[in-house]
Amino acid sequence: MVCQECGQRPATVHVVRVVNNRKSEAYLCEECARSKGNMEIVFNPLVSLLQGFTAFPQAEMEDEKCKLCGMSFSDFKQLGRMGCDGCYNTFRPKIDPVLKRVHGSVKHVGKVPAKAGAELKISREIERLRNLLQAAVKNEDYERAASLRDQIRELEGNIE
Amino acid sequence: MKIDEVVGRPGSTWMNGSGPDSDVVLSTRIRLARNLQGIPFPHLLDTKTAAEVLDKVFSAARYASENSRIGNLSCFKMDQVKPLDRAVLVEKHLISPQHGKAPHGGVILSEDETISIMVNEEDHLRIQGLFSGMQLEPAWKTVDAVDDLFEHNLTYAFSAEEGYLTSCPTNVGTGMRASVMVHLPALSAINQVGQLAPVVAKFGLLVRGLYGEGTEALGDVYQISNQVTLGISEQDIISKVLDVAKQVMLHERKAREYLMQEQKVQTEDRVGRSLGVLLHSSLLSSDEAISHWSNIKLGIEMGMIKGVSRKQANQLLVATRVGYISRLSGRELTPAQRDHLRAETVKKILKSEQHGMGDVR
Repeated sequence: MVCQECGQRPATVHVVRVVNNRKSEAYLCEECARSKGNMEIVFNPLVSLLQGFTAFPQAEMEDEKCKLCGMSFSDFKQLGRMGCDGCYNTFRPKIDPVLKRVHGSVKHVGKVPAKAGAELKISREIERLRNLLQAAVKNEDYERAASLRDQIRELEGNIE
Repeated sequence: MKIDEVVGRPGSTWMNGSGPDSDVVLSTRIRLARNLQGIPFPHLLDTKTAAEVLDKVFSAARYASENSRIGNLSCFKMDQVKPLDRAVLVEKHLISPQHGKAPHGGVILSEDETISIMVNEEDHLRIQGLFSGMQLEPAWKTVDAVDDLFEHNLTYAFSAEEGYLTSCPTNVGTGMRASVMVHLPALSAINQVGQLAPVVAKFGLLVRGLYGEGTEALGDVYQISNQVTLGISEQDIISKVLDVAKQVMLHERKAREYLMQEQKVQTEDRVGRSLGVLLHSSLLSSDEAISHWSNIKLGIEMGMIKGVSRKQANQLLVATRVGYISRLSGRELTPAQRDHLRAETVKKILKSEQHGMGDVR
């Protein structure tokens, strides 16, 4: 979103003004928001985190753009929003430290959608079977181990 | 279903007070953030693509309606919802205050308002389940099923690494926010609410007042919700919120017992005075209404008020808000006119199912 005042810089400030019980709102860039003066300025906490973030890999600071939506990483730092699903792929090395800071993790462990996550479902199942296989080998249950190995091979065939 | 039906009634299913633990927990909400694969998030959408997203999601809704037991889903385009109606949808927690800013916003509602789906808000879809009382499991089962039904016709943005991909990285992973709305008048009366936030924060959860600005939580209504959405499963998020909410419930009930034993007359006095104000005043501001609401809700739960049901009390939460009152009149009101209409509305609701309340009539 661009600033509603100058129409050029990205909007990073959400301005809320209440006059005589009437609320007005605007999305402005910092400069325009400052020039308006005496307003209650609500900053996006994620944007503040991003602006002060020191953990971005320095070597990759050149402004790469997402091929799908055209958003650059500095746009993201200004907005605190990704442009599209492709951005996660494009900016992964830079976004991972942010995710780590916000969530304490960079790896999804929850629900997997039926369509978009079909492959992941299979690889999670393979992972599960591998653990069973190890246990079976440890217990010297070779018959079960052989059957698990066959199941794994079959699933691996599905992915490729 | 017409939008007038939804915004014309102050009650939603989440307010009927029928769910488990409704003495403390007003409602449970679970929302899932979902986006479509290969399409920019709503804040970057041009109007043409935004309209296409809206069409796609609405037709997925029609499929979901026809192929499940969730019942009929009604689709509304935000630009066809009047501003006054929109305010009521916000007050009923069916849409967010920000909704409608991005082009081609939409909302999909189930008949009983337990399911609401925002289209083109911060994410392409925000699927929400809103239930009465403490119902995290049923709410999750419902939104999970709705999510599957929609996925039948939509391809979600998903990666094996970050899970469901969302516009704001703070929602990525499960895309899930689970929250319970709790009413803590007794803890507040003995000045113990302040201890809540740091304890809740230790579990990675967030507590905030639902009404009023800044530190002052009007009506003693608080929301407890998860913050982290990545690296934790949906089931674990639910367990966490459930564990913390159970502790909060326990403490609130203990505080109520304490009030009953140690401060019975003072509490009765407070409750009775608030009921008096709500039943007999002619000008009522929304802040005043919600403070008195808190006392009479406590009075109902402690058995000090007979003849007013939990459902009636809960309805006041929406019926006293500015948007609902303004819509009732259908025109712009001065603050004084609004306060008058509010007082009249409150009386009407409190007297609606009267049986055996001495001082009414």
